[in-house]
Parts: sequence; structure tokens; C-alpha cells
Amino acid sequence: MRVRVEGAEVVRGSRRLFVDRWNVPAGARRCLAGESGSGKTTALHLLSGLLAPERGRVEVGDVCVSALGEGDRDAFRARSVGYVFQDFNLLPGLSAQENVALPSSLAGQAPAVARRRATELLERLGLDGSRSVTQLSRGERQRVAVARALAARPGLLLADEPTASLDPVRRDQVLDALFSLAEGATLVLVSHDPAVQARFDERDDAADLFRWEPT
Amino acid sequence: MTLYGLVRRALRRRRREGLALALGVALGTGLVVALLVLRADLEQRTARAVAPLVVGAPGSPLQMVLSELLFVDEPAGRIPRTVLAELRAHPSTRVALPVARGDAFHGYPVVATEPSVTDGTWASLREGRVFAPAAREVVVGAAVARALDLRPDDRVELGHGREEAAHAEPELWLVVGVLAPTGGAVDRALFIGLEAFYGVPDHRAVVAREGESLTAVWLVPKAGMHHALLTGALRGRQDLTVAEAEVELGRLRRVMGRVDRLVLGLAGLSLLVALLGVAVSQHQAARSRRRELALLRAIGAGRRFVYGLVLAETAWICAVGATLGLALGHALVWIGGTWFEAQIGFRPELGWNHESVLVAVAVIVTGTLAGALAARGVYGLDVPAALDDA
Repeated sequence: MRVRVEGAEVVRGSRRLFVDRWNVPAGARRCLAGESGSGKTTALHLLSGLLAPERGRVEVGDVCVSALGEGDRDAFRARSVGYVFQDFNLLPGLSAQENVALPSSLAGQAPAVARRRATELLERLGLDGSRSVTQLSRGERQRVAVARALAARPGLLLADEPTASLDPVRRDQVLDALFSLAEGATLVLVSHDPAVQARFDERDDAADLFRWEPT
Repeated sequence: MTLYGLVRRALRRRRREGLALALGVALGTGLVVALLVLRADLEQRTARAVAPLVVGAPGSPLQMVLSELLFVDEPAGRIPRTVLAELRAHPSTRVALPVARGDAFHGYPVVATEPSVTDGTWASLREGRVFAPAAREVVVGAAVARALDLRPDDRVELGHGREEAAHAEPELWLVVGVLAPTGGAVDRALFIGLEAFYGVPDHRAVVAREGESLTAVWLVPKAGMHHALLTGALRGRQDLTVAEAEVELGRLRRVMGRVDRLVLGLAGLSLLVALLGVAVSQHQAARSRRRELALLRAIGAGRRFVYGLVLAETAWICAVGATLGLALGHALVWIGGTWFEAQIGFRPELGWNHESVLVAVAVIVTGTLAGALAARGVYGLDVPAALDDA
């Protein structure tokens, strides 16, 4: 899925973020670098439909996300977007398999199909799906989070500092997992870690793309 | 993983808190249900008096109705048996039945009367035959037969009960019949012949000293104006009291109604406090789980789904509480049955009470709505801000 943002404005707190133009071709693997507070996470929220711009257009694939109502953006996100957070954000009461199967269920897949897909992804990552996520190491948890983001076969995969809290070995494992499982999805990964940036052929700098102004 | 599965897991994680909330709801519901069951039982007991009129010794008409028609109080005094002939001779009387109360068997009153008690006016036989007037034979009411597992040919020792001390030797009486259920006080009594009653050794001495006496006469006047004529004639008597069942029961219901409303109000208040607790707890839970709920939104759950999740949790807590409350209310009545029996002479019967079920449904609906209001912030959750929460 290609990503196209034009003239988008969104207010967060007492500031307004401007995204004049930002394009990511379909199937690209793009690293978004930049200082803390430069608007990287807010930009991912715009792409995922978690935030709606006050002005401008946000397009993902054939969908103009900025024109959708909240319910339709929820449905779009369930269907088309996978999200990996910095601190895993796994649901603590569920097993690894249940965490991974959840987005597929939310996207409307039958529970058995969702479970099968979850098991397949976890096996590819060498993880035991029956274990509670509280029993997993940090690296394992983040790999479960990667599997969860890819469970519903999204066209757009967003990863917000997914390796920030991991040591180099686990960082590489998580990146390997992301690259091997993405299967043609467009990947936009936020990171200010040079070692992570070095794994990407293409890189965008938040300072060039985004601009904050007081409201 | 369905909504149900997520609710189940969320409640499992909060099981102590959820259980405490459900128990609070159960306690409030249980109190209300117990009172409703008791009220329904009392209403059923007082709904149908055995006779429209009762005549007895001078005293309170209400007490006479309670003791002689409902058997929930002790007889106040006695009248000579000769009064019966007078009442039967009155032109407005259709039927008159003599009644002499005194003994009790396992808390159930023993009523001495004539065999015509089973002629259909007051009660009918379900099985067996009626007692012979002078024989040591007894006919038992339907509730007594059921509670004490009595049937014809059984023998009972009528010296037991409240007046046990008055009898030196056990008196074995033969059960000869069981009455069909009437839904009234007759079901909870045992009936023997008047002559047999007077023939009991202790009673014989009293009869020899004071003559044959009754505790009351049940009266059915002829139709039309005869009810007024009969009561008018009897009200002029200094040696008798006539009580109209409907008038006295109406007075009793008015008094009971006030107390009943007060107690129900207090129980309802405790239920309200419990539901308020559920609402406050769900509000706090929704606040403390903002990040988790935001995460669900971020991975594709709609806000109605997430709100539904919180609502379903609340509904589940209230449903468990209401169901436990229904059971608790009935258990309270059952456990308190012995105490009631000792205090007011009868054991409340547990039966289907649709008001209790309505209360349980109302608890679930009200609790869920209260939880819905308290957790409404979930609906408008600022997902990016909640995801940023540390």
C-alpha cells in the first residue's frame, strides 16, 4: 500500500503539526528518523487513522483515511494496518497466541482461522503460543508484538521505536522478524537508533517532513 | 478471541474486586428478595380467610381473626358451647362451625370441630375419611401432611407442642384423612372431633368445672343483607365479639404495608449503595485501564466494541450478584424459617415469586446502566494520548 500525505494539519495539545508532503511507495521499507518530539509518532497516528487531520489528505492505498469517519477508520485500521509499539503493549491476561490472534478476530476472521494464523506466525518466530505473555522475555514479547501486527495481513505496517528497549542481539532478532514476516507490506519504522537506520535502504528525516507550530 | 473471551479474561484478572462487587450486589438483592418472598407468603396466608365472620370471646377483633381464622396468634378466651345453637338459630346464618383451639403439634395448631369441616364450605378431603366426633382421630391439612409426611393410618402424639406440659401421658391419635390444599390457614392445621377434644383427661376436668366451651364459631351468613344483619345483631352482645375477616385483614394489611414499605426501602437503599459501588469501581477500572483499552482501539477494535467490553464486564458482575442475591434471599427465608415459626407461629414457604425475578432483572439493567454512565469516558477515549500514558 502506498502512503501519501498532503497538507495535513493536526492539533496535539497546544501545538499544531504540519505535514506538507510525504510519500512512501507501496511495499517500501522506510525508516523515519528524528529527534524526540519531532512528530514521528503523531505522523504514525495519522497514517493509522487514530488521529484525523483538521485539514489536508492522508491516503493509504486506495483509501482516503482523512475522509473517513471514526467508525470507518477503526474498520480500516483493523483491516489494513499493523502496529508495533515501543513497549510491546501486549494484553497481560492473554497467552501469546491469543494476543496474536486478536487483530484477526477484530478484523472479522473466524476464531479458528485467527488461531491458525497466530500459531503459524509464532512458529516461524520460534515462540510457544501457549505461554502467558508475562512469562516471556522482553525480546520474545516484542517478537510476539510483531507477529500480532502482521496477523491480519495488513498492507501497512507501522512500528514505533520497536527496538528502543532491547539489547543489540534482541534488537536484530526483532528486525529480522519484521523483515521476514512483512511479506510485501509497506513498512514505516520510527527509530532514532543509527544501527536500526542502517538496516534500511531508505530513510526519511522528521525534521524535513514535519513542522510544529503553536496553536 | 471474542468479546466474551476478553470479558472473561478481564474479569479473571480482577476476580477479587469483581467478586467483592458481586457479593455487595448479592447482599442488597438478597435482602430485597427475602422481604418480597416473605411479603408474598404473608399476603398469601392472609388473602383468604376461612370464614367471612368469626365470633368469639370479648376482645380485639383483629386478634380474633389472627388466632381463629389464620392461626397465627393464641386464642384470647373462650365462649360457652351453647352460643353455637344460638348462632345456628339466627335467621341470617347460613352455616356455623364450632372451633376449639388449644393444643399444637410440631407448631401446627390442633383445631377441635365438627366433621362438617370437610363438607366443602371450609375444606374438602383429598384422601381418607373425616374423623369420628368422639374418637381419637385426626384429619390433617395439606401443608401439615406435606411438611410432616403424614398420611392415613399414621399415628401422632398430639400432646407435643406448645402445651406439652399440660399433658401427663402421650396421646396417640390416628390420622384418618388429609385435606385438599386450600391456600389458606386450613392447610396448616390438624382437625379433631369436639367430643374427642373434651374427652382428653386434662380437658375433661376443665369441662366438668366450667362446662363445654369453644374458642370461636366460624360463620357464613346468608346472601344479601344478612351479613349486615348478623353482624349488627352480634355487635350488641357484651359477652361476644364478632369480627369481619375482610375488615380486620384490610386493617392488618394497611399496618403491615407501612412497615413493609419502610423495610423494603431500607433494603433497596443498601442495594442502591451496592450498585453505586459497581458504578464507581467500573469508572475507576476504566480510568486505570485507559492504556489497555486504547491498545485495543489501536489494533482495530471499534469504540463500540471497547465500550461494549466494559459494559459486558459490568453486566456480568451485576448478573452474578443478582443471581446470587436471588439464591441468598430464598436461603435467608429458609434459614430464618425456624425463627419465624417460633415468633409468629408459621414457617414461611418458599415459592415462585415473580417480583423477585423482576428485582434481579432490574438490578442487572440498573447496574449495567450505572456502569455505562460511569465508564462513558471509554467511548470518547483519546487513543493517542492514552497510548502515551506511562
